[in-house]
Amino acid sequence: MSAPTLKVLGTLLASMQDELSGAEIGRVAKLSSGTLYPILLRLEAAGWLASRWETEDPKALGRPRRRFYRVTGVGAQKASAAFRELEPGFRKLPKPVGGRIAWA
Amino acid sequence: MGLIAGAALTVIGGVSVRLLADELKAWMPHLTNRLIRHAVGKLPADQRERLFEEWSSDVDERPGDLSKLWTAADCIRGSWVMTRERARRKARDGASRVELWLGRILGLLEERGFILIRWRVLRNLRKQVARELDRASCDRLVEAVRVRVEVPIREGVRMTVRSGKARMSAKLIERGIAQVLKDLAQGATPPPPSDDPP
Repeated sequence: MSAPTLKVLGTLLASMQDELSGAEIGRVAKLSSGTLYPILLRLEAAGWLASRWETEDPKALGRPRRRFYRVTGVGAQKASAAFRELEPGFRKLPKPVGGRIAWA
Repeated sequence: MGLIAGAALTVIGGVSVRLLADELKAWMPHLTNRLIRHAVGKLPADQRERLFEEWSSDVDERPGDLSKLWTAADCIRGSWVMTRERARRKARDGASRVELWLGRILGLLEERGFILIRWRVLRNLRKQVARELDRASCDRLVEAVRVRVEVPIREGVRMTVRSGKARMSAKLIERGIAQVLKDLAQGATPPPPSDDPP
């Protein structure tokens, strides 16, 4: 699993809201559209994410409809497993000193 | 005189720049729209409408005109990434299907002695097949064998093939298959097998 994919999953799992739009995910995960959307579509095709259009009328909103993404049960399980797998690696990293990582 | 000319030039320059900026600003929505249309145009038909709306919404949420333009341009990269991923997936599926059947097909052809193949320790099958056989050829081969050949097919023949020094091409495989089917239909006796052992 690539780092941007983990960022997307991490963003969705850590979000206080149930669903986030593509633009919001991109903003929080600091990913550009060209990187983000292929990942979102791939995860959705794999059943890790589900998406829906916002229900309001775009004419009334005066802007294009947003599409919201949320992590499915399967996605949450798999993502948690992936993060757990990575955890030991992170533990080995040097502890931050004064807010910055101290490289030996 | 020089001072007056300089002042006039400054005024004209300022006005021109402003006009140009206004013109660009006015064209910006059209330009971003064109970029997104171009990006979705490369995608499969079932994804175009969805991503056009989604990307338009994403671009719309960006604060400035330049960042809108940048996001729209980046969508082209996204579309390129998706197209490339799809092509890779297709090639991988095609290759694994061919891999599944190729051994059997070649085993049959060799057993019947209709093609002359020097069997070698075989490598790079996946790469070779992915390059040389498109999905349609693969499907044709699989169908040809599945539907029309009702003879026992030798199992477990191991794979990638080199015909002497030349690589075995998709055309050769297809020609071999066609020949086998034709001869089987006519009830012909196959020629003696190749003297190269499997």
